[in-house]
Amino acid sequence: MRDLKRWAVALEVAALFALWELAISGLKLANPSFVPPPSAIWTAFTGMLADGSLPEHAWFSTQNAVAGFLLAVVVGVPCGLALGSSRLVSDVAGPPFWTAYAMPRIAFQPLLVLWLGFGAAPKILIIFLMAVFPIAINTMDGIRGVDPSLVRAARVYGAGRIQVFLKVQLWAALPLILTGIRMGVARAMVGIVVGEFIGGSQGLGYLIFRRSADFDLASALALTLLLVVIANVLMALVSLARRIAAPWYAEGVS
Amino acid sequence: MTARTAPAKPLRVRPSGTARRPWKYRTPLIALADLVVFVALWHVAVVELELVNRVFFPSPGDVAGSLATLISSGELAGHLGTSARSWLIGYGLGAAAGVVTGLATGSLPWANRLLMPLLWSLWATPLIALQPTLTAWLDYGDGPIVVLVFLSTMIPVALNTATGAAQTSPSLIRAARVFGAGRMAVYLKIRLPWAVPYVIGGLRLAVPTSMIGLLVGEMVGSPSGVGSIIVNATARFRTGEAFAAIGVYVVLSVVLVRLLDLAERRAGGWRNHA
Repeated sequence: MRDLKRWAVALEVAALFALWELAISGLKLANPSFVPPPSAIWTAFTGMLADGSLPEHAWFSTQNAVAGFLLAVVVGVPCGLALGSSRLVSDVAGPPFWTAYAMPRIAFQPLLVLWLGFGAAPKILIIFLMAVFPIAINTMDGIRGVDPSLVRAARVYGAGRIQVFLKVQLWAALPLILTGIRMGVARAMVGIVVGEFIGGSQGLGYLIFRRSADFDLASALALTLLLVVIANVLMALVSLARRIAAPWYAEGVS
Repeated sequence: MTARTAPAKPLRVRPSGTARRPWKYRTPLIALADLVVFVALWHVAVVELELVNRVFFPSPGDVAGSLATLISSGELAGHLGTSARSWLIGYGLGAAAGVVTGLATGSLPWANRLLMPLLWSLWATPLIALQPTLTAWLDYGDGPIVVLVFLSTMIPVALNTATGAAQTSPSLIRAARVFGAGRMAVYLKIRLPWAVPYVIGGLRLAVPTSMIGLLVGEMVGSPSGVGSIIVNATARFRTGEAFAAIGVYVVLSVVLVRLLDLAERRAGGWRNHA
């Protein structure tokens, strides 16, 4: 059933692209240099692969993304654990955390460039800032939502605090931690792109910006679609991890 | 609470409903204290200890001064007006389109199969990557911004509304049918009200995403709007002004999320009695 659904989606996307191609190349509904058809986008894509510009810029973005995101997980999960398991920590550190979570952190990007220059540092930092709060907040929710009877059962069998934490709470909270990581991936993608839009000279976001400014919209759309594919593959991988780690957990909007 | 008791001590298990209720004003007071301590530390670090160059990192006083200038010169009002207009148009149209799409997707099996995967994949996508292309299509200015806000509002609202509409209690729909409700009446009187809390949840999810769309649009390709203040002020090393503009966005986002939280709580209540 699930395979069938996947095929249906693939067919649907293929149909959309076919219609798009037909509307531009066949019926000439719009200027193809203004609204490039899928065939032109594909040519632009392979062209960028062949001349090495795509691999080079993609490598820059990937390095920053991995660094920023790993940092966000390493910092976000323990912060969430602390916020979720201690009343004191959540009372004192909670309000600033929620404020930071609700605020558009992307607004700091021009200042980050001013402080850290035009290199990789402000990009890594904005990716970190975008991803860390959803990870921490979801981890906190996860720890708070652990069924107290599970904790009590572990205590009855003589588990200490640390054991309860490592063997019960962490596992029970895992699906929400992974939900946070999934949200973090989506936000990190925004961070990658904006970081390179503002004060960048390398990376996929910069390349999109550059090519659009040159009115090479086929290349710009090829790169945008590439980001769509990357984002969906990454999110699907995290969802898969969640399904394996917590098959009982129902999927929601996250 | 049980998590804190050591295993050696006897278990303290409160009967349900008797949990110690914290003092009513505890949370807001701690938040206020947080704010005061934060501003004080910031002031001491920048002004007294001079840990950073004030040109690059303003003190709280500098930010307040810049904010006052921005307000009194009327600059902020002008930019805020532009931002508010773009945001309201994009968010309003996005919410309307999202509710309609969501209701259709949630209640018609074929629409569900056709649209849900696309909506999910768009939700995963950094839509702001479209900004340069939109600018090429629609020129600099408000156009691309409104489109970005529209897209980043419509998708979460549609996804949430669809979830709500799909979960409408079937017995309510059957009851309405028994009383002679037609297709349209079932939509308007049963599915839509049932989905209202979900719609509000989607609107709440859309606040940060639409703010990101607005900001990116204004920072990257627009001469006006609060986002453009941030970029222009930073370029002229007027960091106090940039901080003040960011502060405006922080307050707006937090207030909007809070308002929708409140609305969510109000709107959700009746379903438990239905």
